[in-house]
Amino acid sequence: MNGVVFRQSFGSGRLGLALYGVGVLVVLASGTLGYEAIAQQGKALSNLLRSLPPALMAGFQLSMQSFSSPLGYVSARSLSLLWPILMVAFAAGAGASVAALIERGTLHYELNLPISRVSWFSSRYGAAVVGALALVGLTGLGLALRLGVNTWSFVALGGAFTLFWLGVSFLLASLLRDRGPVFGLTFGLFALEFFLTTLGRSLEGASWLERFSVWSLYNPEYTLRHGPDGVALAVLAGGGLLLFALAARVWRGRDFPA
Amino acid sequence: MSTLLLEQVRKTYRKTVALENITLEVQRGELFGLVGVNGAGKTTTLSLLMGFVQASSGQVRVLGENPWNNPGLQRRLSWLPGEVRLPDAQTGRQWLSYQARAAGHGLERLPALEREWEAVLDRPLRTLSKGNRQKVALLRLLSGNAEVLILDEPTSGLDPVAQERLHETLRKLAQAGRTVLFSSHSLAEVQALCDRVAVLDRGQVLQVGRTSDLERRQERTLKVWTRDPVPLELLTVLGGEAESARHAVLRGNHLLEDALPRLFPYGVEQVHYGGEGLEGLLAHLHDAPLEPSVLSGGRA
Repeated sequence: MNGVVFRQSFGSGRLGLALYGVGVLVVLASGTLGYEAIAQQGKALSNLLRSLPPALMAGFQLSMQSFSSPLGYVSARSLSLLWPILMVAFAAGAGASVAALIERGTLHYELNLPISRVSWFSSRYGAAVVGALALVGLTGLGLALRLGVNTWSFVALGGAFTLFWLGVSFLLASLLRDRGPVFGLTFGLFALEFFLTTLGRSLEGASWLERFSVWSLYNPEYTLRHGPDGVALAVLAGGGLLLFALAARVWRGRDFPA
Repeated sequence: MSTLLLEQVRKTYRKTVALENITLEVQRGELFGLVGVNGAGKTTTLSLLMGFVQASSGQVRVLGENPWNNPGLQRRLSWLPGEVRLPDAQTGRQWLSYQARAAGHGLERLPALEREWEAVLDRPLRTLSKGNRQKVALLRLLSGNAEVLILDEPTSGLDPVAQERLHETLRKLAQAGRTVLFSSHSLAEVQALCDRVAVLDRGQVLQVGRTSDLERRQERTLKVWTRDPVPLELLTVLGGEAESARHAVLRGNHLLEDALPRLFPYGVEQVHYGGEGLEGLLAHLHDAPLEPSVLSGGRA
């Protein structure tokens, strides 16, 4: 990693990171603030659940129990629905920002620096990882303060989850040359993962589909209640790092005609 | 040892052949031009020398080293792209400062360059005109201590005054021992500026030689308007043709010395004399096989 490139990358993305921080807080607040009002109206809570399509309930791992406590409610409504979308968007944006340099034609100034391609690429990735961990840490801190629960296991799961999607988006950035496709494909793969999990849980005899989906490894409510799932953490974080290693290799050997 | 060397280089992008069997040498302190129409292979040649792309076959050497995946060598090179695009959100000063820190050199020369080029460095780059962005990129090129400067159509966004200033700067750099390689689709610019030139077309080198050689090989055009019609037989002898009864066009060399005096008896009223342009030169080079003497002149 190169410190100058890392700081530059982190600095140029600080406004986006701050906005994401606000977004995370809004997502948490929407869950935590809404719970008291809904909890006082048991009928409304039941209606809310009934209004959700069964496939959505399955896909996002929601259950009647999810809404029976503040912890379950927050983890189901915020952490299973909005938060992962926010974090995948962050990961997709980080990869897209690298592709944007190719698209805009400013990458060649970076290639003309006495910094190896892998080091430069790793610095961009490192800045994105630090930003993602800051956002996950902020989420964990918000949950701990609001609910008074130990959230370190969630921070680990959220970090591994985001690490995986950062790996996906950086691999796409190493293969493509426009930010739009990098962003869109990262989100498309995320949607596909969700779709596979939903099908696997909704259709009888189709549970094998979940084996092809890392989304099924992301279960914040379970993690918050029972502690970290080592397999999920290893697959998500290890997969993300492997994808990044592959991306760095592709980046190193790629032609970037001026 | 040549500062820049391409030896029998071939470059393909999937099934598209961008360069075919290119051989070029540029010596230290030379101001060398690559000229050709769009798609001739100029930018691919520069990309190979900068290490942006890898040769499919053949040998590429810059200062004796292979530029592909060679970050240490980048310290000794400086690049200016044809179409200057810069990070929108930063100011020129912020961007130049980052580039200098990452490249590991200071910005001691920046204040003088800023004054000389009247560059706007404290406004966001997205708000600058094309010419002012080009100046910021030029300051990046010139603020380091690179031994080799590689420029891809550098004057495309500059006004005539700035173009001339850049030409003067490049001449001084070459005189100071820097090697300058630049591409252009303007034959006149290359002839005015460079010691030697390579003419590229469809991925091949058509000619390498001194710019004076190139000028000699260029066919000239003489357009003459006369008071009285010129006999067709005379025009045929002079290698010309009649555009109308009193307007003739002649092509060839030594037209002013040999052909024009023979048209004076017909009352020459107006004359237009010029070079054939890049397209004409390319057609001429395609038609006329390269002479061994010219080829040997290309290998310094």
